[in-house]
Amino acid sequence: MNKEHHGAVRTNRTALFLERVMGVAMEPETRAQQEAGQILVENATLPLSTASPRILSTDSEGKSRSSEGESLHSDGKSVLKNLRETSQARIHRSERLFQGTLRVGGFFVLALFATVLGVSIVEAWPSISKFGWSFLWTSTWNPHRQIFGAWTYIVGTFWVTGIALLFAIPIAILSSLFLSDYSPKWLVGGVSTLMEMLAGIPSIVFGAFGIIFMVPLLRDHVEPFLANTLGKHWDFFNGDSMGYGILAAGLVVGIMVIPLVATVTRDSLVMVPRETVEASYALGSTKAEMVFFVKLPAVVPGIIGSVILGFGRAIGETMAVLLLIGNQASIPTSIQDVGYTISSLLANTFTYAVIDPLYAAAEIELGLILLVISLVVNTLGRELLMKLMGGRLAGSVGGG
Amino acid sequence: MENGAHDPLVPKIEVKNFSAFYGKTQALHNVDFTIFERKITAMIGPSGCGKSTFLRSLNRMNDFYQGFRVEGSATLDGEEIYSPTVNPVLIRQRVGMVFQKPNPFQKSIFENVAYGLRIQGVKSRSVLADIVEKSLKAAALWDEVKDRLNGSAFSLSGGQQQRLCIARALAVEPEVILLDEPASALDPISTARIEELMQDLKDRYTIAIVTHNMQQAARVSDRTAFFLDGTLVEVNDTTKIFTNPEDSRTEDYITGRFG
Amino acid sequence: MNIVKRTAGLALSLAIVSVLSGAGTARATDLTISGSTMLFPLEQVWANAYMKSHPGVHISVASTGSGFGISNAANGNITIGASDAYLTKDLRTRYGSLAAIPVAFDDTQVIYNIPGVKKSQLLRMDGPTLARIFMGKIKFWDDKSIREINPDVHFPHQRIKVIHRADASGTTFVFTDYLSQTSKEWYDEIGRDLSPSWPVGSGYNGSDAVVAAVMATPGAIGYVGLGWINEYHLSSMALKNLDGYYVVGSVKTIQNAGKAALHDPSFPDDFNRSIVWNLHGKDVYPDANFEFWMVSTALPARTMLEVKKMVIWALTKGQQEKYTVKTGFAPLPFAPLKPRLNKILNRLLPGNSMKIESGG
Repeated sequence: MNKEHHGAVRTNRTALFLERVMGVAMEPETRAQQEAGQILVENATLPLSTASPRILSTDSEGKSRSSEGESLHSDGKSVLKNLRETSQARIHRSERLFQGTLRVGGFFVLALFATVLGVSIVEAWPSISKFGWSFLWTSTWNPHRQIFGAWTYIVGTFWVTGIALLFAIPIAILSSLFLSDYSPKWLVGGVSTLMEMLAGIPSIVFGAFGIIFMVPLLRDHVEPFLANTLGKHWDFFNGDSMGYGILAAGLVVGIMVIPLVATVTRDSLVMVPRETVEASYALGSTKAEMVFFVKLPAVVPGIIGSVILGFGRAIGETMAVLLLIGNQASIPTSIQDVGYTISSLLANTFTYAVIDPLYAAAEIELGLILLVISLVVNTLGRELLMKLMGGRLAGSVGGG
Repeated sequence: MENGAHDPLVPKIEVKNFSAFYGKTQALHNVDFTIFERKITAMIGPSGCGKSTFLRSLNRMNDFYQGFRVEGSATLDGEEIYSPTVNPVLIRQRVGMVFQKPNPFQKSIFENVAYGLRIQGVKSRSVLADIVEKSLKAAALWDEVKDRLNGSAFSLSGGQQQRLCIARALAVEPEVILLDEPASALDPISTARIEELMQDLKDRYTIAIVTHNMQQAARVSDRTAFFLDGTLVEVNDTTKIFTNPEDSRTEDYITGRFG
Repeated sequence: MNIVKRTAGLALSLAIVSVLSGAGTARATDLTISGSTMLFPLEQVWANAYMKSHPGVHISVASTGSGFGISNAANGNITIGASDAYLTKDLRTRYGSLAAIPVAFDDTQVIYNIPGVKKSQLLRMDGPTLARIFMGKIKFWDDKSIREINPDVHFPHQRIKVIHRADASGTTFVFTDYLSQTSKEWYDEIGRDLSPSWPVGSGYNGSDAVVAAVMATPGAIGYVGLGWINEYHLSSMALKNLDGYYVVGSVKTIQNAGKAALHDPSFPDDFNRSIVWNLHGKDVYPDANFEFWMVSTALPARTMLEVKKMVIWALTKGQQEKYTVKTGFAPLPFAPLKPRLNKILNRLLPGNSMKIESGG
């Protein structure tokens, strides 16, 4: 019983984790199934809703209790009956009140979102109507001549996000695997706490760190090294080493993303059941094989979820990027180039842009693009996650 | 079972003066015990008596508990299991294990059975398919899953999952199979199938089973060992243990006076 | 400084709009000054000193950018909008009610980091060459055109790294103004703006970041205002003025520039023109400009009276070096400015006789 309970707690945590982190809402019915956590029922063809013995027994208990109630009432006492009616009304009232409160909260969020979206579209309209879709793929941004195109900033944004994720994901995964399976116990607590602290540091601090540490490091060592090695074969790694640029911005944003991905990955590693790990060992696998073939596949959905979170963080990161990217509206052709992201352009120039309606509209349209990109990536990520989790959810739910 | 009586008893695993510790707690006290080839040996005893610890010691599955250590000797075909020069991974390839709770991987049915082979470097799809089929047949699961080998292992019922775990263990061709209360989480029908299966497997494998269920021990095993408080009280032919135990404590347990 | 400016980004500007939208009807003794990040330090010391000597007056100062200052002064959200730039024709059409009052004097100077060139070595630069550097057309420090202006300096074959401001900035406006006046190429392709489309280089948010980037990057060239040169003891280039003199920026040489500009009778009384086009004479720095307060003539009379008092104080007592030079500005040249300033003050509150009589 104890072990079954453990299983229920685990799957329940998975559900909570999904809800909390990925916004994947689980059906209440599914949750009840998971809480029942049974693997006892042999017949897999039973419909889900009746598969749980606990649910069945609750039903029968409920019935028998209510029939006892009837027999009491048959004594002709209507007091209890009245009480029950009023209490029913009471239950109704409080239930309605509670539901109403929740609904207000829900509507507020919806209204907030609609307002942000609506106001942005209205304010961006001069630009939207003037440039149409070509706003997306033209790269001239000249407030003086009243010509605006977003391409340079979209490209810059993806450069920084891409470098950040490429840098952060392997390190985050390796570090969480190390913490969960290889590090001495005394190190785990310390590193985990550090990770959490790292996640809480304001981005301006990372930006400052980037200027005093990352920029000189890149300028004096990394970029000359890249140019002398890979740069000999690919121009992509060449350039005037300056330190500032998409590489510095991407790496520092990557550092900010690491704790996010690492924490979620480690949480889902912890959730890999001990039994599964033992099963692998019992089949004669080494630790490395166990980690690679059992643990890693089991945490893929968690990693994807955290990468989506990391993407959201990276794509909107403003302060650190603004300090490091070199804020130059040109499309990078080398890893050593400077660039410009949507968010840093807005932070740098929006207060000035308000002076000119079209200029302001173009910048707000940039903000809308950022919003749409995050929405699309989040949705795609969630779809992918549901697909990957599909079999597993069915598995942990339909054990009977 | 009758066959077994005529065969000479060949020791497979020999344990001498074997003690096990979790940190400062001693879980096993000076156990002397032999498991014979192609016999089913059952270990019974009340909860916490050390029978599971003993079982898991035989393929070094206790190594994962911090502070676990052993004293004395345990040999597999005369080779010291806890010798510093022995790689536990190789021991576990020879001594397979099936756990109390079905624990399939989050993979397809096919990949679950193929797992042990893949990590040992078998790549040929046809070899894998062949062994998977044989293993599933040996675990009496083939007919039920042959049409959905690529389906998730979690789509199986609990009993089917446990037989899948047995098939998975068989696929790597171990010499010994350790079963840690394999039917305790299963319903009676599934339990019966597992017991049947053990009889089929006995011809080819040495089997050791820990069970809470004395009837089960009596039904399936050739030899039975009774553990109490970390000591081996008595080990003998199953019929002898259940009809005429030498130790009064064994008798008390079997007749239900405690435990 | 940076952080202050950043907090004044998107979120704050929206917040201020909503919070201050009732400012016009608030008590007359509440004044709000917002806008130029460059003027902000001077406005802070002014506000503190003024509130001390004028009990009952409360002044709040915010650093939100010149663009914000101009547009919000025009629609009455704030009482005084601070701007680094004068009102161009475009802005005058859009914000007809605004009067521009020069309140301090400032400049833009060119700083550099050339390995092997000593700080004590005086570097000379002219407008067309500077423009070609900032357009990416001159790529190395030992380019012929740079060596010709500086025959006695040995330049390394070092790539030039252009450093500019990323945020909209008055310093940039003054700098690009000089380039536009002196280089046709620059005028045609880029022009003058608080935030132009830079063809090359890399951009940094705030003058402090520009200073840091120039100091850290071998081969760098950038530009900052007088205050930064003094604060960090930087050496700046001597720029060529209209009469062919190479002049280094200082409090003295930019005051000379102010006097030179105002002596020109064709300089407009409403200050709606750059001064860079008419700076003649020896020791006259060619790239100086006024900092402005923008006040809407549509303010209610009671508020306007307080604004006028404050403006007169800033133009007289407020010009003392302990306020202006300390925060990186040069005091206004008082005598040549007086008649023009009184005309503007009269426009603010017609019929009110308050005037400026003597300097601080």
